[in-house]
Amino acid sequence: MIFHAALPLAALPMQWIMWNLPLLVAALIVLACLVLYGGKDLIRLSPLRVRAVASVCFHESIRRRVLWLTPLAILGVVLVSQFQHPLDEQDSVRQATRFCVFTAGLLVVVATIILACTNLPREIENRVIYTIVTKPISRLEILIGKVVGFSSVAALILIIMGVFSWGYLKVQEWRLIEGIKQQISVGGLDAATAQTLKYYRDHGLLNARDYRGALDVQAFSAYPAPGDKLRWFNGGNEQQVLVPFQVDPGSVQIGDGDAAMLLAISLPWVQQRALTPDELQSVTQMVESARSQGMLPAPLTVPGIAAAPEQFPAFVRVEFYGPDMARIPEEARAHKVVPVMDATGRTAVIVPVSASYAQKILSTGAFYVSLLGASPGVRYGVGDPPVSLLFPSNDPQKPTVVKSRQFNSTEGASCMIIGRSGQNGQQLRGDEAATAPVGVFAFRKRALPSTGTMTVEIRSVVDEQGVVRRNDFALDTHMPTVVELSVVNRQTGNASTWVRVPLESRRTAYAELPAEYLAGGNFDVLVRCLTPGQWLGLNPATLRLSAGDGSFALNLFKSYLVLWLLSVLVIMVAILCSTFLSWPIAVVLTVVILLGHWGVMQLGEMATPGVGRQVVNDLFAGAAPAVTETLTRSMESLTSLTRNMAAFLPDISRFAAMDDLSLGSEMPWGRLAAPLIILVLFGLQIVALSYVFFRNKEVAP
Amino acid sequence: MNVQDYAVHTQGLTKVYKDFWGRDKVRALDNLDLSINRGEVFGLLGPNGSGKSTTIKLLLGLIFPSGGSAEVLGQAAGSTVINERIGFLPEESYLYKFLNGEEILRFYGRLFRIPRKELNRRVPELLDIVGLDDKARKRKLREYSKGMARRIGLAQALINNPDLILLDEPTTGLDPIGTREMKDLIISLKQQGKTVLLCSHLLADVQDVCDRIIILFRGQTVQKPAPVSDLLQVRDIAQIQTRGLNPQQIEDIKAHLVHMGVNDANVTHPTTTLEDLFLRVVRENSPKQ
Repeated sequence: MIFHAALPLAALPMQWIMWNLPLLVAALIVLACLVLYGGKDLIRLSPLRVRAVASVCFHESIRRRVLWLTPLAILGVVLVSQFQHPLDEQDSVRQATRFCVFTAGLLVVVATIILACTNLPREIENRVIYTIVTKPISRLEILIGKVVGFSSVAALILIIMGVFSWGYLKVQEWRLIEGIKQQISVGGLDAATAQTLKYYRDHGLLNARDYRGALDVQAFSAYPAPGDKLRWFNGGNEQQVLVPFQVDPGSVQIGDGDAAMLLAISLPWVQQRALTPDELQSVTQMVESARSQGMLPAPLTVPGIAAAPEQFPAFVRVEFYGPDMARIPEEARAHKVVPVMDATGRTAVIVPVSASYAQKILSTGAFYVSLLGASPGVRYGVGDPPVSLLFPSNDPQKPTVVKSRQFNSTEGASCMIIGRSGQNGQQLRGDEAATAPVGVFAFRKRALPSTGTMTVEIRSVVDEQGVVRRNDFALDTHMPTVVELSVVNRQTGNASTWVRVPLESRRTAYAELPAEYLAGGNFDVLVRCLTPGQWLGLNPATLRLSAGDGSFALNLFKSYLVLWLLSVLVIMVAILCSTFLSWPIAVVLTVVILLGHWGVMQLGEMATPGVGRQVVNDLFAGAAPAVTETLTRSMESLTSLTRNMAAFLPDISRFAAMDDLSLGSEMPWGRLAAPLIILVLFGLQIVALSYVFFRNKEVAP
Repeated sequence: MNVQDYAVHTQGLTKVYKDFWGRDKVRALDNLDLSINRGEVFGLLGPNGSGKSTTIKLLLGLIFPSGGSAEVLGQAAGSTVINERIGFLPEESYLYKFLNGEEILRFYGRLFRIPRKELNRRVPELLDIVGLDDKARKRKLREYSKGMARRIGLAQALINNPDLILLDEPTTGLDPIGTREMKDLIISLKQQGKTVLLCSHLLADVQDVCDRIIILFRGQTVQKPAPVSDLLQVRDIAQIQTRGLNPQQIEDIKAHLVHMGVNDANVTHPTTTLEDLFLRVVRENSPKQ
């Protein structure tokens, strides 16, 4: 079921209602039917009777020794914790936290499925139900009583596991901190480790920090100086500019042939330094390729006069990306690398796009034009949107011009500059301070204290396979990674001094930045890597600001509360299944209902329209067309049915109990909104359906 | 008499059990017409599989009729509301075995929304009535003997002081003393103006307590409801009972009867029932309180 419930509870009003309208309407219809069908039972609903049934369910579960499972689970956590391979002390505690929460979740879900699935069939089988339903208690009260009773059992299990988890993690933290103190007192640690361990010693390992993340991250060749209207990015396939477009194919005329759509590119550039022999060779190849395609004139040669050193243009690689940032497959004749002759950017470079490729691009609705700086030693400037689209119009002299749209995430920016793509996000090249490119983390409307210092956490993956331009560093030499951080206030333009931080790959490093630059809430945090030959992986989650420390115990409580909400949903589904099935089948169906939506999501593209044709083409390539068509339709119907059924099942991935704990961040109360909404909207329908089944069930075997 | 005036009234009540495919499998009850007056003890008789339990299940709403109708205390059978005034003792004590005698009665009392104060008074009183001592009422039901389970089952059926009590094989598992106490209790309930529907195949029990009976066989009514006394009366035999006759006097009476033309007269000493003998012996040998 698609729930748009990531909003905090406070922001529930109109927008939320509009997003979840179909579900709300469905829930209201169910409620209305329940009132009409079981109105009398609804009116007679007595908390006392519900409590009586709940109390019996609770005591029966306890007498069935369900709580005996908790010490076994605890033992399992302790054992598994011994086999972990943590990166450092904090990772060790966080892994242990994940074990605890996972075990508690598994235990409570398995226990509630078994208890709730077996209860009703057992009562019918041993005829205890005779003495219940012949009392003035409605079937609705019996069902609600059972849900309440088993939810109490789940709560008790989670309380026991929660108290154990908290105690166990506290002991682990104490043990690790003692070890850290010993390491520091012995000395001999490298700078990155020492700095991190001191931070752990001072701030503890069990955190629930109020983190503020960046809106987005960009990679510039340098941060724009005050008054500089251009943002600069590096060539050498290191950085690129992304320009977003949204074009309705029906609103423009697409021409014929190879120039059905034109790109007008205006990009000033500067040759920054002399090229190395390797770089010169790659540029020469680009020049020759452009000449062979008629994009560059042949050099003027006068017999008997030595040719002057040739001035090369800058090249950019033009590519198109779909809305999911996947590259739209190119055609053989599409121009990939184009020269930008005018270094001032006043004269636009026109790049034609063929009719068929233009159709393919426009059919995506929203797409990006990427200009990758291809020339080494060159930096490119971006001011106004550097790309426009031109389409034919009735007046040949006045083509239809389509401007770029705005990025949603960058405060109205018309394009984004990003580093080259690596396995861990964008990559930022390490270099000397004067020439090192800068990663820019944009923070907007982030109200933070503006006195004292602000703790910054940075965790990145460092790659060393980058090209080392200097001969004084060998590729196989592991250099300690050093990064520098600075903060720039967007309103005042003031920038703090750079703060140096030793960094280890995949390990969090901590730095303190002066908080005065955060005043107003709009600021950029700049990162640069000062270790040549290394590349820093960047994504918006790489850098976080810690606005304060919350209570870890409260955070743990919230996680277990999410688990409890999940267990209540499990109980509702299990009881529904047990109203019309024997308990073993009810267990299976409960698991299928709970995992159905998640399972179909995991199929991903395997469950999208068109997969049927693809599968049939792969497996029955030589079959007769009629057979192929029949098989395709059957496959398509099956995937469509699967998708539609999954849409009506609960999305249990919304019950995210572990995400914040494993990151050490404070879980906002609003995070409970998503599971609560699923529980209310889906659970209401489940209980109503259970009531209808149970009311019409003959309970005498 | 108006339908509302009956404690139980059925008309053409039918139950057909079906198989998985919806085809008729067993016709457990066929066209039962039954009217039980308020305040009488009514016996539902028949061999195993005759439809007695099916009738009770239909009256309680545990199963739904395939045809006909049934009203209990003036309302449709199975109504949750009318269950406020009904007590039911199933043929075996199907209760939560992990609770003790007091806990189970309190649980059922809460289903009737009986206030805690009232329960504090009524629970010990009921346990006394059914003869469960202090030790027994604190034991878990799983540790109860069959007779004790019947007693606690009876107590739960009476927790709400019902107007109509349905007893399915109430004396099963009880010893002769328990059986007698059960029969005494049924008579006492009748004296309190309550209606009792008794379902049993122990005919002596039925004979002792029932005002009227019906006999079912294979789902069919083979003996329509009628008073027990009418059904059992042998009209062409007379019985004279007296005390203290000596043998000579007996011979004189026989001679007189022959003189009157009665040749097959039989004058004997009556025997007591085994139940009466057992009760007398046990009482005589029990320690005095």
